[in-house]
Amino acid sequence: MTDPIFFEHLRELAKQQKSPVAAPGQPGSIKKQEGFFRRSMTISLIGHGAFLFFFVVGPMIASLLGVSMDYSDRFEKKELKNAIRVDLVGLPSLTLEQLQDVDPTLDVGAPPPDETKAAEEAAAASETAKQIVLEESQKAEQKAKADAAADAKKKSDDAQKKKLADLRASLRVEQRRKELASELKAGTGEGREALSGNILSQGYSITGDVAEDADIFRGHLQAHIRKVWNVPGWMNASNLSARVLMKIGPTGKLLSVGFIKKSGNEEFDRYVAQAARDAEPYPPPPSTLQRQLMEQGLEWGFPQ
Amino acid sequence: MGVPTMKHKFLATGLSLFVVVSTAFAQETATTGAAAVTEASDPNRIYIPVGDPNLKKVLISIEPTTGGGTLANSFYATLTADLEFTDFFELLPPSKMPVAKGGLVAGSFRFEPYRAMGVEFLIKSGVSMNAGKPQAELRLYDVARGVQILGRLYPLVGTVKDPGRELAHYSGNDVIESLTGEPGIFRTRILMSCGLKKKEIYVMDFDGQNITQLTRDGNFALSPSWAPDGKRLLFTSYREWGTKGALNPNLYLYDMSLHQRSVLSAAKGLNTGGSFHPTQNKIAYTFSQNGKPEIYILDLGSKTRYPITKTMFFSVEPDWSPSGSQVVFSSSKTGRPHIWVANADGSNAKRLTFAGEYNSSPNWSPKGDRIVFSGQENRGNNFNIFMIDPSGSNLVRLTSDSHSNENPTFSPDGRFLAYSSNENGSYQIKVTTARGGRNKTLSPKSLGPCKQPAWSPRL
Repeated sequence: MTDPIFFEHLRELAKQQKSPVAAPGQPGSIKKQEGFFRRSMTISLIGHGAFLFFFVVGPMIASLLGVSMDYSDRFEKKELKNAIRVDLVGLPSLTLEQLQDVDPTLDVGAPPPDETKAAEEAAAASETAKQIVLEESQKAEQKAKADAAADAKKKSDDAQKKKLADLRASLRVEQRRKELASELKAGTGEGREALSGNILSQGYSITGDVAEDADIFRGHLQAHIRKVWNVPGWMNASNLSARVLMKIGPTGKLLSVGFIKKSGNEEFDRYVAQAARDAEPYPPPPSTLQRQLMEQGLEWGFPQ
Repeated sequence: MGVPTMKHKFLATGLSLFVVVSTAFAQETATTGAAAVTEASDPNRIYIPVGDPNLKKVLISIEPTTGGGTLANSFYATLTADLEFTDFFELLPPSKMPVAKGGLVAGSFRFEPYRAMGVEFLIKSGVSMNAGKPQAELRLYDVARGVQILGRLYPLVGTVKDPGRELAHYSGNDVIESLTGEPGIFRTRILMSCGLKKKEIYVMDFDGQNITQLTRDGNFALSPSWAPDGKRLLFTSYREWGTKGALNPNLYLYDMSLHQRSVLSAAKGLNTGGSFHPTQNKIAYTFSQNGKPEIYILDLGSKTRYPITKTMFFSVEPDWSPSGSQVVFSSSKTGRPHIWVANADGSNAKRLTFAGEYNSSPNWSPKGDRIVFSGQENRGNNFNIFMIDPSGSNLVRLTSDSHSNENPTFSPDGRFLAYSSNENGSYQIKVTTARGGRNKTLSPKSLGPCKQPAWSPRL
């Protein structure tokens, strides 16, 4: 309250006011005022100039030099961090139960690892044809995959899948053509028969649609088995997972089922097996996938 | 109470004439339909992740209890109600049960008719008198595998009002343990504060039966909570303070077996919301020195208290983590009341909730993995029940009602929640599963509005 410096300051002010100041209207005072005006103008001009230089000319020079003076990005980020008022966040609107009732998006995970059409057809072909097709198609596909993957990253998922599939398909078709040509040249009856019987017809049928078929069918299958994928309410299944191999016939009949990996919990595994059984009959696979599902089968992750 | 509280206790007394617990799970895999691990994974195959399983109710057939009389009726009715309470089971209606042939023992009946109906578990039970004392026998069978997974004789010790109910609770707890690995909660009780103009502390069984009034203070008796021993409780009661006759909320400790109370904290201001430390002889509670409520620790041995919070407005409703190393409470530290967690000494205070207008009455789950609380979305809204991890993640909603649901409290197995709800006009105690969903009302309207339920430990 009784700050000595403060009082000192007050006294100083009082002195200044008492000091003789030229009264307005006297010649000395006008001169003084003109001097003051000039000084003020000078300071003002220099100030404005500096201001203009800093904000207009400065950035121009900076941009010429290639130095970025746009810090808005940095400021914004910093401000945002401090400015988020988390109070504005709402409490969840759906109950846990309602959330579980929501139909899961039929997300079938990563794009199909490989249609393996080539491998499948080759299996039916002669031994030699099989070797060649397998090796070459794998190489070609790897390359295609790498190229496509690099590209497709930037594009939407759908575009990516489609492009990949088309690329693969065209490569495979090309592959088949070459194979056929060489086989025909060689004139091996076996090879010709196998090629004309399997590879040719199927080879030409491979298009991006097969990949799409697979995606759609996977969605159907997943939705289908989810309905019967049940465990008792007391089971804490959050840390358990099993993997099952299944072969399905063209009519949706379950041909075989077996564990690739068990969960380690006997009860859980029983309910996995139960779900696989209870889901029969399965939706009939599209013609493009029938062979694969019958011979190679498909893998189920319970739950992943 | 009637029956010995520990399994090993009655084993030791030799009262178990035959204990036929079959822990030998048969190696039978024929019924599973899936062979052993034979196949290898192949990245070229079509792969489908199924996603998380649905939680389904298991079909169980509880055969009528043999032995006849009120004992059998009471046993059967209680066992059925207990198992139905859990929400784990779908009970096969008696009219659909296969005609009972044979006795309780495996081999004297056939599993096939049950299998054909999709029954997964079968319970057979009987009651009898042994030297003038009631006893019950219960056997639980896994129908698919055709094996007994529980078989035990339950003798009644002492006298109770309803021996059939008592014996059914014991055997029901064992059935749940056999299936889930953790005993049931059929012998737990719930404290509550009831009354319209004057509130008193009451206690009832987990299913709303056997309501007993504990206090007759004639004013406001509030915020009851259990000591870890299940025999004592803390509560707050408005009692006269000083000579002026003003009422002051004091904190009391009540011994249920001795029916005696002692004052723990009666300083002027709030002395409320007591919570026993799980292992040490101390409590956390709300005390308002200079009119500002803060969380205090009261050492019951040395009778000293010290604050662990320092807030602008208030910090209230403390509840210990199961280990006793942390406290959860609601605090207006940052303006609106939110849920906070701090170490036992108040250090490391961390805000858990950021959403909502008013979050209060947190309760820590018995396993320590979840915290349940009541939250108000917007000013003037009703309250609903939410759950969050102690880390502050996984906030989920459990109720979505236009009425208020408040003061949630976990059952000792963490599977159920009791809370107060004004769905039917005035507040009543309700129970639901810790996943939300179906609820049932426990306290009758005749008690007046009931709030602040507190679920006991296993008794």
